Amino acid sequence: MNTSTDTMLEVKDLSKQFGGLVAVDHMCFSVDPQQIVGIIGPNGAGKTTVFNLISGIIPPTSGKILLDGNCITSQSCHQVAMLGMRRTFQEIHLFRGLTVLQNVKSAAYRQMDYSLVDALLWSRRLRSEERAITELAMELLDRFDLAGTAHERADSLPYGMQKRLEIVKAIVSSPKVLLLDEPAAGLNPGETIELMELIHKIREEMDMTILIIEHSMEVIEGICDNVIVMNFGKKLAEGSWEEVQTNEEVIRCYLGVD
Amino acid sequence: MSFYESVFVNVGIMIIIAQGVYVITGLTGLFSLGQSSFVAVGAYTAGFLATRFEMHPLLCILAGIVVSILVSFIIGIPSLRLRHVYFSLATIAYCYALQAILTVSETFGGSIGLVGVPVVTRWWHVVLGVVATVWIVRNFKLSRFGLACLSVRTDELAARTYGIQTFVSKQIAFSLASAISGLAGGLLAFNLGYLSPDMFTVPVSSEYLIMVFFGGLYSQTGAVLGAAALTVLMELLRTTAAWRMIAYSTIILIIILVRPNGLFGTWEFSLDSLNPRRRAKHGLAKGGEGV
Repeated sequence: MNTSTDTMLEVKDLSKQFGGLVAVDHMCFSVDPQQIVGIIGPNGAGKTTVFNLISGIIPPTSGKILLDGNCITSQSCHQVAMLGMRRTFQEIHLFRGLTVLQNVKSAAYRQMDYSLVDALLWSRRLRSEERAITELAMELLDRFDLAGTAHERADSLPYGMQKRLEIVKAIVSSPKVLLLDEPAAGLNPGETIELMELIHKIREEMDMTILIIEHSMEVIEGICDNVIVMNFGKKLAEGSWEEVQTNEEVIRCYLGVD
Repeated sequence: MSFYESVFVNVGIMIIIAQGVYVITGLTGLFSLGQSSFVAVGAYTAGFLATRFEMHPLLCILAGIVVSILVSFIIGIPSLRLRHVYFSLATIAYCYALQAILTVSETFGGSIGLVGVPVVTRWWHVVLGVVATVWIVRNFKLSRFGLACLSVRTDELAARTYGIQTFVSKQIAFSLASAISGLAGGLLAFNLGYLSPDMFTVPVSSEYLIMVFFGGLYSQTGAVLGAAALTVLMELLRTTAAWRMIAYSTIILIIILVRPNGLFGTWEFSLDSLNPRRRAKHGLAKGGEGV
């Protein structure tokens, strides 16, 4: 097992086949701690499939995934989550009908430790743990300007706030690795800038490694240390944004010529 | 026992059963059409121990709860992996299976049923049962386990990405619901004095579901009041004899048409909501707590 601490996430030779379709084809990359890495590429390039493989939603056909030295290949979603990975989805996956606070607290399920007996009998232990989690959740909501909505239904919030709430839910348990799938999709320019500031803040203050799929080159340019370009399930190029945007192959397949 | 006491006891037992349905269907989103079989397990276990071994009723009821939990745990292993309507079909299947077993089994009195259970349930036993059940379900609902059930109900995939084991959450809710049904079954056995397999059919299960829907599927308060209202209504309509079921169904249909989310929707009774100042402070007036 890899014990080196300089790689937070390592993907080795990862492939996924759906019947005859090769969605991900021998992908290799690694992400250092506290790095922000962008994954870009045309629609259908397999970006979201890579996220689904890493987060354990679907098992890979072959290859290996290491999270902070632990092999997480073919582990189920909640196991990967318990090892310190959180993700958001392209479409919003909030718990509709629950309040904003309940949403954050349910995302912090693993932060609480009391037993079922504690729960049924409303023990002192439950009350102190619940109080601590509520405080933590409110503090996070406050930092991301959602505190005023804590008791509103999550699905009654405007779209931009719902997206922000998704990110708050993903970071409430301070994961090691955070996967963001198109966080800027559907946001207006002002909200996009706020989002970029927010992602920076998360990395600086919470010591997190972040992978981000995005179609907004403004976001990629603004926050990523490293960019991976995918096309037809394969890695087309990798490097800093400056290197990638001048790569002829990338321009031909994805960025286009002005 | 007077007529009023027997109605009261009946209402209490129905409230307890509805709490179980609320846990599995309201909180967790699994439509169980076999809840009556867990009532049956509790009732038959208690009744059997009471008639055969003359055990103390309290011990019989406790044993009924334990056996209910065990049965639900075993049934849960295969059936809780099923989704949506497939789960409902599985619950119908085991409801019929249990009925068939009870009908052919000599030990449990076969189709004639189990007779000679001492009639000892009094109104304060039921009050105790209702208060304990409502309190426990309320605690469960507000705890992390209840929240996990709610998240599984709304978005299973997202729940898994937060480290929630959806199968375990369902298994816990299913066992709790069965324990509650088992308790109701025990009280029922000592209230009626006899038990027969046709008291625990699939239509009986659907009546339980209707009570919870009537009050508001996503509201614990609704489950309590829905069960109470419909049980009382059923008693009041006794005078209309043959028209009883028609009147009953018409009233339910009208209410469901007028209030599709049930009488209470997602509203929950809480002590805070009685006090306007605390209400404003916690913002309880805005969002429903339960859903």
